[in-house]
Amino acid sequence: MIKVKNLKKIYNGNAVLKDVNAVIEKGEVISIIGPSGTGKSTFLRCLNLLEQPDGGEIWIDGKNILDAKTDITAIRRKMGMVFQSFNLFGHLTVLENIAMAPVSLLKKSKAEAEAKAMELLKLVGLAGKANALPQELSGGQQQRIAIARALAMEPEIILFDEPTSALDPTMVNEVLSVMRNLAKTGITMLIVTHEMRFARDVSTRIFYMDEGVVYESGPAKELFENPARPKTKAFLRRIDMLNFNLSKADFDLYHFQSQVVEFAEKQMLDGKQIKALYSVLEELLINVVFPEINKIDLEIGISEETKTTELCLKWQGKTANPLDSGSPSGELARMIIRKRSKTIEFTTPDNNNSQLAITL
Amino acid sequence: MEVKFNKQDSTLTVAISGNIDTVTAPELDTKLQENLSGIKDLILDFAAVDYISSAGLRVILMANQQLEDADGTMTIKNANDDVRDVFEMTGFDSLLNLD
Amino acid sequence: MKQFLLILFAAALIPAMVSCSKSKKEGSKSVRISTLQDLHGKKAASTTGSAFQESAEKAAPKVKITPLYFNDNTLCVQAVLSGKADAVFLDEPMAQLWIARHPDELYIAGVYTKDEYSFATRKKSPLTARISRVIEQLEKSGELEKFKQKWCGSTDPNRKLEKWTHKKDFNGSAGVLTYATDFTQEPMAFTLKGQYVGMDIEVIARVAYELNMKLEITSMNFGSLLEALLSQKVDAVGGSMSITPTRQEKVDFVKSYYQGGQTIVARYPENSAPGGKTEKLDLSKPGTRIGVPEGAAAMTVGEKKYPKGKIIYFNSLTEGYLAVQTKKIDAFLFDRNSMEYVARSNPVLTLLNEKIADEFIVIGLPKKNAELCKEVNAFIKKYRSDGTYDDMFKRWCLTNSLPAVPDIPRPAKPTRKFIVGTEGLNPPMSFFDARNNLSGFDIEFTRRLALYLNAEIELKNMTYPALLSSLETGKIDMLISNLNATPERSENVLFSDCYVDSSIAALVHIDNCRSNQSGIKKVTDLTGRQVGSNVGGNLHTLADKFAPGINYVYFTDNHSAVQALLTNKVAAVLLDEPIARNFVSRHPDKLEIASIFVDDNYGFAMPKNSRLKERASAVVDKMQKEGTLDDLKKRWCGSDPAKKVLTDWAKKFNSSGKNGKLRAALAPYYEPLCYMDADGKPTGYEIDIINRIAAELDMKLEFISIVGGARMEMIASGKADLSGGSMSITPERMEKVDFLPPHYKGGVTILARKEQILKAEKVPFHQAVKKTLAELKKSFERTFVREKRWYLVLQGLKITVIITLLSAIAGTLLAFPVWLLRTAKNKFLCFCGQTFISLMQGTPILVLLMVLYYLVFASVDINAVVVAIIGFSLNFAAYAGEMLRTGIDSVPKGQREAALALGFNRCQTFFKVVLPQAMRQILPVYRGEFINMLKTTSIVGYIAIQDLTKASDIIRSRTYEAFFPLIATALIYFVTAWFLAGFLVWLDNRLDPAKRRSKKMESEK
Repeated sequence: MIKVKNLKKIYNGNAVLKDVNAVIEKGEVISIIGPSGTGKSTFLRCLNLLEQPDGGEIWIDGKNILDAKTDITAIRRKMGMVFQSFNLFGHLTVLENIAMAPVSLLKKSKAEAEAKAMELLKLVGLAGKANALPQELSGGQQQRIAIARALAMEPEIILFDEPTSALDPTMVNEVLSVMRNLAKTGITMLIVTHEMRFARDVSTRIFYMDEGVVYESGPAKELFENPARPKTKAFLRRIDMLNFNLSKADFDLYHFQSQVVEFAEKQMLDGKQIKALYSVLEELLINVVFPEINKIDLEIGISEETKTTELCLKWQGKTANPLDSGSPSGELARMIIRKRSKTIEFTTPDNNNSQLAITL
Repeated sequence: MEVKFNKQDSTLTVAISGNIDTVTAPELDTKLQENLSGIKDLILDFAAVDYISSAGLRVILMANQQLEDADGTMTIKNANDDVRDVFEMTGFDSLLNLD
Repeated sequence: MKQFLLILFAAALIPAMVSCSKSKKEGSKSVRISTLQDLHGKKAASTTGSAFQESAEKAAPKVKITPLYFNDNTLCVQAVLSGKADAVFLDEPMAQLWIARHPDELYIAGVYTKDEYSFATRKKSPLTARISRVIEQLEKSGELEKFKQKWCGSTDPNRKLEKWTHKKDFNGSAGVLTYATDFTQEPMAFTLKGQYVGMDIEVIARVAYELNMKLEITSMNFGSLLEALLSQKVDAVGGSMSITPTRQEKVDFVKSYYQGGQTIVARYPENSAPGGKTEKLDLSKPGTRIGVPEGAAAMTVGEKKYPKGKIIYFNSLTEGYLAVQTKKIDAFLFDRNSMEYVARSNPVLTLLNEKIADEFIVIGLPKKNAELCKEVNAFIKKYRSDGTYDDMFKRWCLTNSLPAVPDIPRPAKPTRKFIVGTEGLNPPMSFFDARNNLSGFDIEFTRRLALYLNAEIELKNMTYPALLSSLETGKIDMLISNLNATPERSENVLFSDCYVDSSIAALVHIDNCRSNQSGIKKVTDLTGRQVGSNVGGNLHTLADKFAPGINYVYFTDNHSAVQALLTNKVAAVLLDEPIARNFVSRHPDKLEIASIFVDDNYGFAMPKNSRLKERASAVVDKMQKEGTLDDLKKRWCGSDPAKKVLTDWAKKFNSSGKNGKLRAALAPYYEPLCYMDADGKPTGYEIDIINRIAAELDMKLEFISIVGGARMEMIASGKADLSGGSMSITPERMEKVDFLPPHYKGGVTILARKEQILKAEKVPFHQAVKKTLAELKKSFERTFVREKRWYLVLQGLKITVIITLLSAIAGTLLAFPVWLLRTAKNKFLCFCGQTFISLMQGTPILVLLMVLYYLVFASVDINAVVVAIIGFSLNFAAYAGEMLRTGIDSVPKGQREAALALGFNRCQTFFKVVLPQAMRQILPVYRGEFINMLKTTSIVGYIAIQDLTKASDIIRSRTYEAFFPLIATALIYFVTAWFLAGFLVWLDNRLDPAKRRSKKMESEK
């Protein structure tokens, strides 16, 4: 139904969408996930030309919508959109909000449109609010009405741009449940969302967008359980990274440790885990690494989900595994490190770099 | 890290508080050496010790050695779980008198 | 030969010099004229053909008076004012009128004879008797008195003649009565609003009606009246014509219908005019607040002449006058002619004696048009020399009321056209008459000039500054509006010769001219003050003994004196006690007797060595003894009018008058002692006594009515046997006459205003409200009803509303392109938009209008209203454009996207989603700007549009009222704003979704 080829979009010299390719079939429910600023919303808004792409092609039902001659309003009528900030029309009642477009654009009679509107209101569970004004409703209610408004135009596909991001946690579920029900009706839905559980439950396919492209896509269950690519993984596991460039000469243990502790606390590690972490770090750096090596890159990654910590130390030059050196002064340290770690892996990825990866 | 000495005849009770790590271990070492002459029994009270690293372990080991050489005893008491874990990890639990 | 001539010449020169210096000396002797005798060797002016000189010579034969004859009274008075004559003889009503006009300069020096006015007819004419009969009837019925009240007793400018000939029973079949009179004899015969009116006219019209004859009136000079009568050109003549023996030789007179007196009116010598140096307003004193009209020559005069004073600039004359009235400034400088009119119309305003500066009132012409200037000057020369100017000046500048422009024919085939600009707010030179047409001296001048130039004239009125700009830019060809020639203006404007003589005068509040505050408790309080006194009375002589240095103002009768007191023109009046009490009883809230400072006895005078004296004295003594005098006194001086009836002594004493006539000369001006009743018959306390005397003496009483000043004369000349009328017995008089025993013991009282007490008196609330309402009602009538002024207001309102509405609509429509420009992505377009907005917001709308009118559309013949609409639309568009921008920006962008996402195109999105919400945001501000514009339209007067404010200005320049017209105008603006903005309120309601919804829910229920 929708084919996207080599879609490109540049903002302020920055290519938000570099080369997006996707195919969306009828009846699919696709959730688009990914870190912020990776162009998820931009991609969605390009589909109904709220954003003008800088390159590529978008084919909807066999029509290239980027062609100057296409009547974009006609295309848009077939696509509904639900916004993060609801965007209900403030000067109209709920009923009028829903009925306005069908009356003007689908040439329905006012009575017909209003009847349909009432049905849709029932569908979203807000039949009693027909005469309310948008400002009199809560966020969740407004969003549900926005959905009803989109449905009133009988679209073939509905685009959802972070529909629950602006909602307070108590109201997120009422909207999600409406969307769940909607998904069951077989309408094509394209949802940009941060609600991972929802995306997993409701979607047929997931697009993980990163680096200006569809980084990884696949059936929901598979992607969530076995993400193929690292970034996908990192994202899904909610791994957070902390990077350091450390040199022996000006290494300040306490300063370093306070940063690590702060980071670890953010990641909700408990006290014991944190102590273990900086114990390992102290031992590793003071007693293992710096005696031999002057400069390293340290990457500490903590997964919020699994609460596991991964330490990755990289340095230049091909060396032996410093944990294997037999110097007696470092024995205690090495013991502590080994005891505390789950896995230790030493590699020399290319002949110029060495890498030590430790998992706690 | 703070160190408090309590001498009774030839028994020295040392109460340590804080972390004993690479930075603070040398200080502990110095202070112990100052006070160890003529002591037969050394009691290290670890009630307020939060954390110990290998640097700290070395200091304790040395002190233990000293006392043994002088036919004395060294006891560590009130060590918390984290410290005990470290002792276990490094085999110090069998080397030292833990109370 | 040469030497001889030289000596002759010198011989002639010396006496000339001597006589010059002598007369100079005489002139500088500040002799105040107070009797005929004082006129010895002086010059007195009177009208040609009048009998004044004759009667003066008769009354005082030894006095040598040099007569100066003039065509009419106005010129006579001018002569006195300018010093050409020392005094002028006037009939009493005329004298009063002139004094009222120049209270600073003229006063009644004396009254010297009684006068009777009548119509003259040819000897043996059958008309004489018939007319006399009618007049008798009128006298009996009291109608004559009513006429007198109407014409001589009031200055109401709306007086009209009764339309006798329109009555049903009149058909004029008895013939034609031709009558001629001089129409400069106010109030006997004069013009008012272009009609011939006056006491004389009323009487003759009535006579004609009674005689069932058609009346034809001709106007001619006084001096020619008798000629015309004798040569049978007319059947009757009149016009303050007194019955004199000389005249009676040639013509017959009908019964007199008016009894007056002949007065000497003189001018206060320099520095002794009431107000003296210490009291008069000194304009050169530092800090004096002097108001000047902005842009007028008076302004420069004020600045130059009074550098120490505080000069305050006024935009309009009306405001300047008002400021003097409300004492916000001490004086206002402007053209004398215009301000004389103002001073006459307003009792608290007057002009200072001095001439502040010369004025050259000229016509303004475009700088390039020297040819036209020559022609205009030629016309001016002609009109000055052939008497047209004199006539016009008299009509417009020297009368109390505003006449109409006479019917001057327009040129049949005009060879050119001129647009003449004038202001229209400056009576009597240029103003709007009752029918809202331009009228005045300048207008008449213009019409005459048009005829002379054979040109068609279009009159345009605009404000003074606008006039000058219009002349410079060629929008008008001539400026005739009391324009002063000044050096600065001569750079851009060509001036004609001076066409009307005037000077710059200062208008002041009468309080500044005279110190007339109350606070008079005793006679010594009168020192230095203005005090009224009866001419020929002796009260002032008495007062002088107690308090020297009182400035007396003389009146012929007590009524006038008291009137002057009531209107604050004198501080107090000296009166005999009973008379004072009478006045107090008439005005209990306004007058009070300040003090009685000398006892006075009244008696009747009789000639020395009169036979009757002894017997008459006996009667008086008897009456005293028996208590009759007391009874009479109680009756006559009491408050019950029913008791004031003469006792029929003749009956009581069975007197038949067989002992001859008792001629009693009495001055019947002293109510309740001696006065005229409603039927014109003498009555009063003293009359009652005289009747008794006559009855007891068995004589027939012949009553001769005289003025107070003649009481002594009548006895001295032997014309009367007895004289009196509140006559005080004084040693001086006793030298000349004998007195009967005093029949009244009174005193000289000082009558003063009751001001201070009035202030303390608490007026009950409902009365105060009633009074205020009544005043409001009067103001309303004056402002709107009179002369159909409401029509002016309506016209003005129409213009205001049109300009406002059309500008609002155009401005709102223009707002869209302005908004588009302002929010354009193209930098140039955006810059254009921003520039336009800053320009419009930063330029005062008045300046914008004037730029448009005088610069942009200078040579274009465009209706000023269109220019106003253009100006206001542009200005409004700038503000509305910004409002639009704010409103549109305030609609969340997301809603636009939502609409687009639904499938609406940009246009639909704008009109269905953005605009309704934007409008709701901006409606309150829009409404404010709209109402603001409505009020701002009040400035369009500057580009010569007659809107509501201008209409109010015009009305104010006629009524000189401050409160009512201004408040009314403000109210009208408020109500109009309320109505017009009401539409916007309705719109707001329609757009408010909450209100719509509740409406809908209401209807669904």
